[in-house]
Amino acid sequence: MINAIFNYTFMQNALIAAVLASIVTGIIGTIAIEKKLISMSGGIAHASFGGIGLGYWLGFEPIWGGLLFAVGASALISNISQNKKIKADTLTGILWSFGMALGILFIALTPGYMPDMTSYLFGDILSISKSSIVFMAVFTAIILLLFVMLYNYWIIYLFDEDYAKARKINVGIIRALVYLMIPVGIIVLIRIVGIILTIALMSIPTSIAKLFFKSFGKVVVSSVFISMFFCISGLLISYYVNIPSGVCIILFSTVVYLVLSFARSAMQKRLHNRKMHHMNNCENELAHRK
Amino acid sequence: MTENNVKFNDVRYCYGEVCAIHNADFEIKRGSLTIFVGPNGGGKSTLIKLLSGFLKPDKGSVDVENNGAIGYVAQGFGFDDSFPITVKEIVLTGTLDKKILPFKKYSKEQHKKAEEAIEKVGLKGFEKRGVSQLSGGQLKRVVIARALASDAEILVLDEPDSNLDIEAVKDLYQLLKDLKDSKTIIVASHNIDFILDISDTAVYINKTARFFENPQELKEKLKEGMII
Repeated sequence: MINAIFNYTFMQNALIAAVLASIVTGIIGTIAIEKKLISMSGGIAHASFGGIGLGYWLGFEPIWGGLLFAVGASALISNISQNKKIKADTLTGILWSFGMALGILFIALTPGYMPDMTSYLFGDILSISKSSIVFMAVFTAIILLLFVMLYNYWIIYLFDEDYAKARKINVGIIRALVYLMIPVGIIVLIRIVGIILTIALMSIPTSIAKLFFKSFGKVVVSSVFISMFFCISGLLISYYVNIPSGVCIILFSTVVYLVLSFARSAMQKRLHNRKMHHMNNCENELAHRK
Repeated sequence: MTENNVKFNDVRYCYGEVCAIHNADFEIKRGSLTIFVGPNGGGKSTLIKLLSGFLKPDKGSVDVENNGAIGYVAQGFGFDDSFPITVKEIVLTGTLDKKILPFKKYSKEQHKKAEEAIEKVGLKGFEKRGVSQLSGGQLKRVVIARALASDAEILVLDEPDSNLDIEAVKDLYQLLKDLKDSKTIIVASHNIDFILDISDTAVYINKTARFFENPQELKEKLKEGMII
């Protein structure tokens, strides 16, 4: 594996992409989980397929089409969620299927052989090109900069938006950034795990980090490293067993998450039982003394 | 607004065709503890929301000192208690500037303010505890500490005693009594037995607002069933 990293450009690209995607996952995943926007993120990811199809049909780089559709879907959901008459959840469901249907339509309209869409649907970290790395690096840098720049305001907005409003903090700006950063982040992740698996990569590292850390900063930073561990492990498994990388990353991370959450709840139960047992013993001893 | 830092000027607010509150016209003195009491659906929460700036009056105005910035403590907590945040981090957010300043780090002074506020509400030693590791009463104290750490002169609490046991309610009101010299405190509550004894003024809210300079007068009237 080490030799492969030094000898093959595609392995070097894959590693850089894994690091960039992990930074995005740590930030966007935490924001989406804490603002309960994971379903919306799924809708945005699937809506982007329409733009990818449009790119194939009109002959421009499909990922730019995906970005356009993702940002458009996010803006639409953001506006609708402020209008009580239509539920954002309903619109998310509609855009989810509409984007996929549009993508298939555009691809069907594309002249010549039908392109292979597997890498967009399930991701392919091993086929990432230099230009894709540049694309990912630019957007990851933007997300990281915005996050660091407004770090304390992210905390107040994500934790207690009503309090921030009562303090007259302009939450509109932060809200707009959330609905811009999530689609951009999703497009970065699509090259790694694909449209269908993106929300799992957004949710799992943060969910694991929350099992162990109680501070916001620690959750974000550890999510980045957990995601890096999953992406690189998935890459290794994919390299040796020849299974699509996105599938390896998600299957491996889901198993780890399930094992850790089960182990943690079992441990907490054991600690609770031990505490109860100790308290009963103390009470019995007191009764005996009386 | 020198002596008074909150003024309701003939305020009316309606949800569609149903008016929740009308003719609300009173002033609240600086450094006082005022209680909003009244039946369910009488308009207490609407008045609190108007005061906090979440709602805009259909008629009249609500004047709040310091550009309307208040320390607001919501009825529920308004946040998810699984959020990864410590007591100190929550209280520090109270010291944040209203104006969004990029790359803003908390200064030593802001840390000191937060630590003082934590000590004031009796949670010294809890700074590194996660929000999920606190009881309901402790959480109320944390959000009060956050409001104390802010530059807001006015502290508004909507039903702060909901979901608390009697001991926690007594502790909470004792804390509010201790704090009333440093802030103007406004509390919406059903718990008239405890709070009317420690408050300076009271407002009875039932579609309209009636101001009582002496809370004991309201207590007597409520006991005698003279106002419903």
